[in-house]
Amino acid sequence: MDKKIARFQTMQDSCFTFIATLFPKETYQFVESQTLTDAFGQVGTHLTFKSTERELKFSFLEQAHRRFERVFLAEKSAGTTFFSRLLEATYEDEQLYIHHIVKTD
Amino acid sequence: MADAPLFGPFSRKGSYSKVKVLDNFNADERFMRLYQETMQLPEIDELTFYRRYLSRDERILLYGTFDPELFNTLSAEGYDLYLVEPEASRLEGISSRFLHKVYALSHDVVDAVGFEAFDRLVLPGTTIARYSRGELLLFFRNIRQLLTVDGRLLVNLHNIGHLKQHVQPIASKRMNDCTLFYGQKIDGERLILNLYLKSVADEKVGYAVEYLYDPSTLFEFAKLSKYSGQILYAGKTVHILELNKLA
Repeated sequence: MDKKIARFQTMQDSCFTFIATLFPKETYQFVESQTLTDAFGQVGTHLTFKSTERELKFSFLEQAHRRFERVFLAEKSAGTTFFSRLLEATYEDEQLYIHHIVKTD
Repeated sequence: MADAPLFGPFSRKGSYSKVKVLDNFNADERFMRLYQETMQLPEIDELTFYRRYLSRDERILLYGTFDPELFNTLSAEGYDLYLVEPEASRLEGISSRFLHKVYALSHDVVDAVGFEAFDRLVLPGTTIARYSRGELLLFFRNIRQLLTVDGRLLVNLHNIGHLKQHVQPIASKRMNDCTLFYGQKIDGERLILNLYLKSVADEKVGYAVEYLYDPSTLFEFAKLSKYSGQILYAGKTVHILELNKLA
């Protein structure tokens, strides 16, 4: 259990550092973390953060090779219903690295 | 790994301490590619089939190993495809134009488009066969939240009779810097694939398990979660089934 808690804390800290780089003028608070099994049986960890402007959600998914985790970042602006994807990242050695920016049509 | 479903020479190799046993073949890209090749369904020309089956007016969700080129082609032709693919290594080849339609978890898709947003859910290849009976019941129940009120699910099943006559006990393939060996075995209601490779850098065995269902069994399972079904195509090696979500 201690290991799980430590892992969550590290993930949360990494997310905060990442957010501070992306949105330096905004102040975020941690809302919640959830580990959920999706409709297809895949287990993902979701961390949500909130500022006055928006909500950010990080979704972590382990990969079979275990070299890094795949991470998606999505945002929901105040007053909107759905999230928009911002970018895909990797989580490696307790650090988040941008993999690519998600460009919509 | 005592519980790994390894047989014959693969089991012997797996018992050596220097040979790594992978409980998820996707952890090695060579195994992953070999699995995709051995589990292909050559009887169906997928591009022709999907062009006939899918409609550009519908929103379609794909889950499973979907050929990146096929995804690019159909997306460029105007089909509104979304893909859920957990393994990043299987996305090589997806055009950057369509990466925004690719997700890793169904929760993230729902966050983006809402519940009951897809007219069709397509499981390419024999993806459905990865689910055991218990998992299948959960699957049929869980995907209801993804499908519209009258949404449809498309799956493929091995023709069990044909498979039993054509199982490959051992074969090999050269890939990059090594030779891979693979074998298939039918064990009760399961198709087991074993893989082995030895290269300069490593020596590994891996396995994959698929569950064998005939169409009537699948329909019975689906009925429990309120689906009706029909066989769209009954071929020599494969059955294509369509399941309709009921209210």
